Amino acid sequence: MLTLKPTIMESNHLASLLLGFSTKSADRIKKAGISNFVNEQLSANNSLSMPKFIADGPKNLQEIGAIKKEADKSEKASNDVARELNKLSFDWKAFIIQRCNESDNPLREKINLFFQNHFVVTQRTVKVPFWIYKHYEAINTHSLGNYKTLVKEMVYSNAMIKYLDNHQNKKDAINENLGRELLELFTLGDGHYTEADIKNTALALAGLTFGDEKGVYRNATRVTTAKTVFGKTGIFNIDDVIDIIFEQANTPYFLAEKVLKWFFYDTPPKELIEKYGKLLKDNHFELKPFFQALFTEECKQSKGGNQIKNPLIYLLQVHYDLSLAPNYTFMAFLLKNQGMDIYDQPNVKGWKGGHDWMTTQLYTERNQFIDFVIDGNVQFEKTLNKRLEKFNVDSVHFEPKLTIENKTNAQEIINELCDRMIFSTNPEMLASLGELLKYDFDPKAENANQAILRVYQYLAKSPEFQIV
Amino acid sequence: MERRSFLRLTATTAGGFLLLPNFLRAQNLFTSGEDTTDNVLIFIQLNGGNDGLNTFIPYDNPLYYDLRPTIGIAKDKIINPTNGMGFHPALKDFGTMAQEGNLSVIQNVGYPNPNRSHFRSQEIWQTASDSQQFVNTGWLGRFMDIMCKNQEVASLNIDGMDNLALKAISTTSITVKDFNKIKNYQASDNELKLSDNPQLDFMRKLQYSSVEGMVQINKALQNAQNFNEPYADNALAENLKWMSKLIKGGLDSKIYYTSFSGFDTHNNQIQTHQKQLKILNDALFSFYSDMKQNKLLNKVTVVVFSEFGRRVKENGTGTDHGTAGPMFIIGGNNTGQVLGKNPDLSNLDNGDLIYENDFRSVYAALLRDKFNFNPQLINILTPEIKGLF
Repeated sequence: MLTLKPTIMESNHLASLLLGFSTKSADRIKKAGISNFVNEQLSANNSLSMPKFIADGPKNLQEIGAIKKEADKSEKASNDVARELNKLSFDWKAFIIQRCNESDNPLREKINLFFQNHFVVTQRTVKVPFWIYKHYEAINTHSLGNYKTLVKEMVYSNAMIKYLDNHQNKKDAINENLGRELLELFTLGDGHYTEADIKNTALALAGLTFGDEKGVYRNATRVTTAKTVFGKTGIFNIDDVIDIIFEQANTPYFLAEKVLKWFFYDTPPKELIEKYGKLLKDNHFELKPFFQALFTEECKQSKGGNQIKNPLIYLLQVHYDLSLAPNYTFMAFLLKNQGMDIYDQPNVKGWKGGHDWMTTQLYTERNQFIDFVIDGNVQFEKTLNKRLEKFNVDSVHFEPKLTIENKTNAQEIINELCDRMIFSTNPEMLASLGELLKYDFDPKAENANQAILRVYQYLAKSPEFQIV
Repeated sequence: MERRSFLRLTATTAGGFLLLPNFLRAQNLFTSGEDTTDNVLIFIQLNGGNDGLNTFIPYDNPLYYDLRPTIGIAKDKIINPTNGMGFHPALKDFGTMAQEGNLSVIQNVGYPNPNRSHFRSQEIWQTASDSQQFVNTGWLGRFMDIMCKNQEVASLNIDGMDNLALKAISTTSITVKDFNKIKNYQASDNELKLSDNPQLDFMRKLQYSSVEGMVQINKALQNAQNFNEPYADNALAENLKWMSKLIKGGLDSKIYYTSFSGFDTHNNQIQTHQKQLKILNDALFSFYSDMKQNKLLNKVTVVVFSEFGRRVKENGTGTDHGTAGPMFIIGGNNTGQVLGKNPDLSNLDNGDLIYENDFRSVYAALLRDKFNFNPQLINILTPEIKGLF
């Protein structure tokens, strides 16, 4: 019999998952140490250049207006524009997923995606690919700068103005949508403001509408009288209001909680929210030192098991583990089905994470995907093909290749896979593994790799693998 | 009760797809009356290499006692001694089933160039490959790919992990670890605490309900809720009891599978083997009595096998890995005979029995008789063993 003892995930693999999308960085973390790795990631220049499909499309207001006019001509023209936009939206999703998968700075992409989910805009509503790009660009530029600056950038983003209807917020017809979310979802959280604060914030936002690069105030529609927010009165524009919001007590804690949720805990412990909220406050909302300390310290003490894995991490981890050739459009499609539609969240609150990532149906589909990759299930392939018909995904071909470093015997193989995949094993699981790969398994046998893949398959379908 | 659609039989052969005529209606068994095409196979895989010689014992052969002075079973304790062979004392109900004509034993089952590795030999049994050949689908999986194309639950495996024998290309084999847990998870909603980790508990609950085909399974269990025949109190009996419920409840699976570990008796064999065989005996007899009482025994065929037998000569208080061993067939209108010669203990290959019946000849007979299925379609070319059904 095999003597397998319960283990927890190897710490560098765990850190790689927590700070990225797969266990790809485990070796780098091991060599550099967690603190240096985080520092490297946060100091790197996370370059971004405009993809061709954005560059080729309309950018300034005139060009964008022309497309709209074209669409208004007939139903057919409107459908054509919609179809093109749908295609472009998948190109964009694929572009983001590719960055997450291929970047040398996965932590930066994970931070970017965090802020994208914090300052939600969706392609579905915005409908201008260039604005979506600018939204992402602003996040990529400011995600390690000052949080206050980032909030201002987001409020001035054309995409955000469109998504939360601020182009319709005019002095004679106030629309509170952006004002409300600025307080409720971007900075303070429910219960930390009054309805009057929202009204006055909305007044300060009136007249802020689309510009070529970013939002601009139009004099004709702005409100130039005095506003009162959080007890302060003045002829404020939105920058002044944001400055006041950042004087409020809960602002740093609100962000700290969301960061802890995205990276580490479905239910962050109160004392950690306190600790890192205070840290952000003490650093005057500078994000880099806040992230540096938070990531380093939490990775050092984490044993895993606190978070349901989001579909992106799940998918990229499996791709990395099995050296699958990525088809990013296909991945975008899978993620959409798994409830993580990139840059198309279901609503302004963004993906909630935790239990929301999992239902019976979603778990079944994760398992079907694993079976499909490893066994090539014909039924699943048919279903997939049918659902993929209208998307331009090219061909999808999986040839799983699992690399095992120490292939001496069954025990080493099982241990290595558990170390890489499972936050915590248990006797029941180990008993099954021992049956699956018996002690007298011959790693040199002709079909040994198939048998090892079956171990991977078992582990990847386990409840434990769905958790990081 | 819902009637399932006709099954279309298609087969992949070297030449491509071959369409066979529809002939099988997957009706639920319990209402199917005398329709003999609604057969079900149940496999019990004894993990670890069951010692065949101490299970079905050649008590009349003095060599048996010479080679096994410590662990040999005394002649006067043998159950149902007939024609030189009889059962281990723990298998008293095997005697009953044999006397009632519902148990066949196939002696010396194995294959050429035997492999004594648990892992590899199981793989050979599960894929029905030659000893030197490597196949990545299960023999039952290949069968189901042809026979059960449109079935939602083609086979059901009660175990902690999937079984290679059931691995198919297009059909769904369901593996369920513990039916009690399914029941509990449903009943207790979100209250059940399984570990200290709430995330893990949440996922484990989902794991049970995310099993494909769970709807069909639940429906069958619902249908069968009024059947409560008594079963022995052990885990294997529990698994067979669930299978019985599903069969009675009309689940349209053709294949049920479970495994039972603990037969790798390198030492302390007398006690261990006694314990294992008693569990096997009690579980099987519970199931047998249930099937008999509900007039299902002719439709349900139970197959008991292990990846290999054990070395003829004992080693200390146990035995080492061997080769051929007996297979047991219960129910399914079998002939109730002992097939094959008694083990030849004087003509051994490196101390091990030389196989007489290829396991694939048993597989072939099962497929042919129970499903009117040509075993060659799944590359089982060994002729069927004669006289089993």
